[in-house]
Amino acid sequence: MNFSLVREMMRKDFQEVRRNGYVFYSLLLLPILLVAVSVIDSLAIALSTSGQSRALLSTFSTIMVFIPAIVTSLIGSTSVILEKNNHSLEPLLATPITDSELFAGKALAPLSVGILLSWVAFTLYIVVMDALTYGHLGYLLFPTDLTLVQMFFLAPVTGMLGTFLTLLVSSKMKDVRAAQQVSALVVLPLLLLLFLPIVASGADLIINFVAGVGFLVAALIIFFVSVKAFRRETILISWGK
Amino acid sequence: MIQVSGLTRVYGSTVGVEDLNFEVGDAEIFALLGPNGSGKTTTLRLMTGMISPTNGYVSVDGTRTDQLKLLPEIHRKIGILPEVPGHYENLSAYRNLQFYGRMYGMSDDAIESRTKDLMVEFELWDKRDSPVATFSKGMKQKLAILRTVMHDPKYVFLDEPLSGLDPESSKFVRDYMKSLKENGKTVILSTHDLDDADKLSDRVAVIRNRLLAIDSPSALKAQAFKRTVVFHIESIRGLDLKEIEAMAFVNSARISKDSLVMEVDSPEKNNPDITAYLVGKGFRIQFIGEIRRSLEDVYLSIVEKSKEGKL
Repeated sequence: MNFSLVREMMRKDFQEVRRNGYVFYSLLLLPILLVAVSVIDSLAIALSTSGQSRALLSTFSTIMVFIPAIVTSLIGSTSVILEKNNHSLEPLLATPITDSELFAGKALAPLSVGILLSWVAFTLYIVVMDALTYGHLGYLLFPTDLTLVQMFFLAPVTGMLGTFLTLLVSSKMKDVRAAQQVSALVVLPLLLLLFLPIVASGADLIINFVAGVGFLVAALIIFFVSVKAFRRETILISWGK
Repeated sequence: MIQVSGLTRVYGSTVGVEDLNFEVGDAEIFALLGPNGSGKTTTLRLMTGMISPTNGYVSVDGTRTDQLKLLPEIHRKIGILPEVPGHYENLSAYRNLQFYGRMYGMSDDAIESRTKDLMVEFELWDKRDSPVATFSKGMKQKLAILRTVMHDPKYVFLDEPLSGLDPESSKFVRDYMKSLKENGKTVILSTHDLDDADKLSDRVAVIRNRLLAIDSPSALKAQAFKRTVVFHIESIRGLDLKEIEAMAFVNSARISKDSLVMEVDSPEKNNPDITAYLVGKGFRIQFIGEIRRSLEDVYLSIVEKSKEGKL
């Protein structure tokens, strides 16, 4: 795989998102909003004296695990279908890029933005929660082992699963709106359903880790299925029909 | 050289193209002509390896386009201009070209100098930092042509390259295509503009899901029509058309207003005899001309024959 082509593809996609003010500022707003909501909801629990209650705090940070998948539903679901609708796909497919390099470029752009934004959100949440609770508790509440697993393992893996699933599903869609709708109404709820048992389990570290491994395996399976489905001929002739 | 051999592409139960056989030589301008839905785009896509054939093959300099592992190697040799320019409209013109330069593995220095040269030549340099969305249709088309030749490909595939261009830009692009040929590049052109194909092409292929005719425009004209001469006569009353038709070299004759219109074997050889006959009969000839058949006449004749099942 020629990574310089993949990197250039990602860079171009980033720049297109950056130039699209509506999408770009929505993306910036996403971690801020999620952190604000999580802080408001979890502050009372954090300040309570019960250690058991504080164990529930990790469920609030769980929402940030979904940021990469949400970002994918915003920008990843449309990236290929948009190229086709804008007629830029044909000249792109005429370059020496291979099908798997194109898939990797298209998948990695939204995935890396999503992971970056989730880390920004986790960091903001940790800093704000510690700043607000340190005076009362006398110790730093975050980061916990669980937060770190969520931040550096579960969020990227959930993002991968969401991205590959979204690209696979969007390949069957007729237009940009359909791709986004399916991504938001099918892929995200599916991920949420997969995640609910983990949250319900009381946010146990081991369960989170095992779930992460399960998601990783699922993501890899979907990756290989997606790469097989991601053939230039199929994209050129069938996609968007 | 590009070799097309037994090329067939079927979409479900629909035949895109069937059993195409031709070659495109180096430094040649080759035009693909055909009605809408005749398989021109399918042929271009097959020739560039964008889609694979159901039967037959295309080889570019000896490498078959259905060998997917070798496709990047083929794609370095070819540039494709699709019918719709398809730019990244939010990005600048320069960034669009830079992106494609990098995708073709060009160094940033090479991209910079090539982009500047081309944009200056195409009078787009002053607009290099403007988003493509702000460009006129003609400017977008010019930029798309620059993108196509950015990596200096040996084979340039152009689908309707003059579409949307004003007459001045159109002439500029035509001249540019000729200069590509002079520099040893091969241009494969798909167009509806038969006048352009006539002026530009060394050879044309007329397709309607299969190859109907292939040759130089002048050879196709000669094959499709006998040469037609017109004698404008001061007063044509009293002319005996049967005597004219009886001449061995006259294939057909008719009177149109004050003109005698004849299909003859060779105007250079036959006009003096016709002139002598008419003068001898007392007719005063005002001037003699030849009806030039356009490629459009040839094309329409070929397509019509194909529809009637005569080809």
